[in-house]
Amino acid sequence: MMASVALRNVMRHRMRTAFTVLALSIAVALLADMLMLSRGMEKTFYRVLASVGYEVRVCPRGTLPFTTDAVIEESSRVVTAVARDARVERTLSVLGTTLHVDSLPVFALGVEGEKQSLYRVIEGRDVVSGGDVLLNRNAATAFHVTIGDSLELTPDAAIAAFSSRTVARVAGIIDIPFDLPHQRTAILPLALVQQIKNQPDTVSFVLAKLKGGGDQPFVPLDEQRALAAALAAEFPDLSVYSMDELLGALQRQLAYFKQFALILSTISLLVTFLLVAVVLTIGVGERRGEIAALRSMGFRRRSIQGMILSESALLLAMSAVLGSVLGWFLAGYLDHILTQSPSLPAGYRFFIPAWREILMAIALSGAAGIIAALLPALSAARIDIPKTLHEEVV
Amino acid sequence: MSLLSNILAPAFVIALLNAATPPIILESRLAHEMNLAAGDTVQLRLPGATSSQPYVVSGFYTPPPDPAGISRTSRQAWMTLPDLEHFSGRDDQVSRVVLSLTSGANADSLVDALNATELGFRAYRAADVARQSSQTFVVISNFHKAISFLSILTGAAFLAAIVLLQVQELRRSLGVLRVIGISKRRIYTVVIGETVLLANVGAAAGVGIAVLVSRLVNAYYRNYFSTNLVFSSIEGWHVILAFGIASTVGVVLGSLATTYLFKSDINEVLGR
Repeated sequence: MMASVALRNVMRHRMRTAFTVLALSIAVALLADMLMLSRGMEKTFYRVLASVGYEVRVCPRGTLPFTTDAVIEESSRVVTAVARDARVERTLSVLGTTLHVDSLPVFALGVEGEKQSLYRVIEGRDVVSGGDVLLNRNAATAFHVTIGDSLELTPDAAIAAFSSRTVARVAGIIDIPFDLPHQRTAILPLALVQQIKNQPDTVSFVLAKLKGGGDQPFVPLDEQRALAAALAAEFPDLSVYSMDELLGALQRQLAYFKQFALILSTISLLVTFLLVAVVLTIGVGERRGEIAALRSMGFRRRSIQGMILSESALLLAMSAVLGSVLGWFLAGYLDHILTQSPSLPAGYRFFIPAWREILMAIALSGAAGIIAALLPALSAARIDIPKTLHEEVV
Repeated sequence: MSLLSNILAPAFVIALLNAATPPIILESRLAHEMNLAAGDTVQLRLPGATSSQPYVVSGFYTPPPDPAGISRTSRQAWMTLPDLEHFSGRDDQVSRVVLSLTSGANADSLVDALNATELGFRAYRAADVARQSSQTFVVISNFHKAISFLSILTGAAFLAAIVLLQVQELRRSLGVLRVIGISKRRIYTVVIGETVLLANVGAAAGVGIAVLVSRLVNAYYRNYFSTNLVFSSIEGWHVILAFGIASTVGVVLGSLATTYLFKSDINEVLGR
């Protein structure tokens, strides 16, 4: 019964209710979006790592893949040790660098390893001989070449006309997930890149795919961590990452967005709390006579509290519906703004709309709203009946 | 000392006691991390090289605050161009050449002329480089603007709900005022004045909180990134904008609320 009274109270002032619900909806939407922002980056990073398909990464000490020019020297010693471990199914050695074709830079990856999953050949065939090169679409278009054509690669741009050139034949066209939007990328045999850069037996990092995992794409984290720890102990001059450790390291680089999301989430909850507390407190003050009359008619304190809490729940329920829709579309809009940033890999997402975050935002906002309603509810239940009736009615 | 930087992985730098070697200037953070002092000798080794070369630390360098390099984890070192050429084995090469033009020179025509040479380099105006490198911050600024708009919308809706509550409370007294002949215009002025005052009190509190938060943000991130960059600043126009928006929202909502109020029947308001 008190719920229907609460519904009538809420609907009695439609304009006021509309504005309250609008403000609460934006707060719910913002909270949902900030939760999506926080989780969206994690999901994107995980998708990047999952698309590459290896669990453990061995890098020069203190570096992450592709963040510096540092390399692992005497890499064959490291690769042999990694491959020798009984838990490792296969390895991939990668040397990343910038080469040039007619003064145009191309991001070149020298790779060595069987059954690689770093890139996908969409036309032609994979590199099989020392003189093969694979290009992504951007590179093939920029260099005006197709499969079977030859490319002259040089290590430096400014002296391209005078430096020694290495001729490679285009064997195929590739697709690399999360390439930069306009990046020209080439895949070559590792030995060829080492030769062009005059860096024998060096790699940027070594990837290891572990045995097992069953139906899952990756083995459990504790197995990844165990191998990473063993390799780190064997090679103290290198940094070895399991997937969760690498995710953590990558996320530290975008700590700003995490902290921004945390601050704005807190503000959204605070706004929800204040809105509900202020609106209900003023509403209770406005209806003191009515509440006193209900109490004098025999309604118990608990019923009055229930009525006020029901009003809060109704406002929050309406806001949850509107806020969910708003948050879902707002996430797309905010993601569109942030993904305009240069040097972001294609497919990178900051906000990934998801019901989990929407439901979490509704639950958190609901809790904040109900807590905010407790004070006006208690205040309404403790109204001095004779005094209030005298003041309000007589 | 030529303007050249070389990214150094800490693993390649080993402090040694040595003298009579070429000088090198290290980034202060690197010197601090490796406990190096002026006069110390460091051994540098190129990636993949087996031999190293000694350099004497002749000074320290703190890079100017640069938002683009905020998450940079590598460290910088400066040495003379001939020393770097000798060290890297790359004679007569530079990463970039910076030109300072004479007063009144036409930068556009010079850039066009340089690019027309097609000698394997690309010339840019300083403004183009600045615009390109600041693109990320433009994007983040747009993101902040979108969030600000939502905050304003939330605040406006919050204010509207409160003003409507106030107006409901004032219904009886406003009804009496109308009956005794107070003009609508005067009542409009009073209600709008109250709403504008309320909005501006909120704006004042908001500016106060913003100043406090701004200081906290700067203190935290300067420490977090070990930089002197200003991450957040409250400028005069921000304050003017805050009060301007508050006043505008106050006037609009006050007018709407009073119009809504005048739609009520006075007899009903007075309980007759």
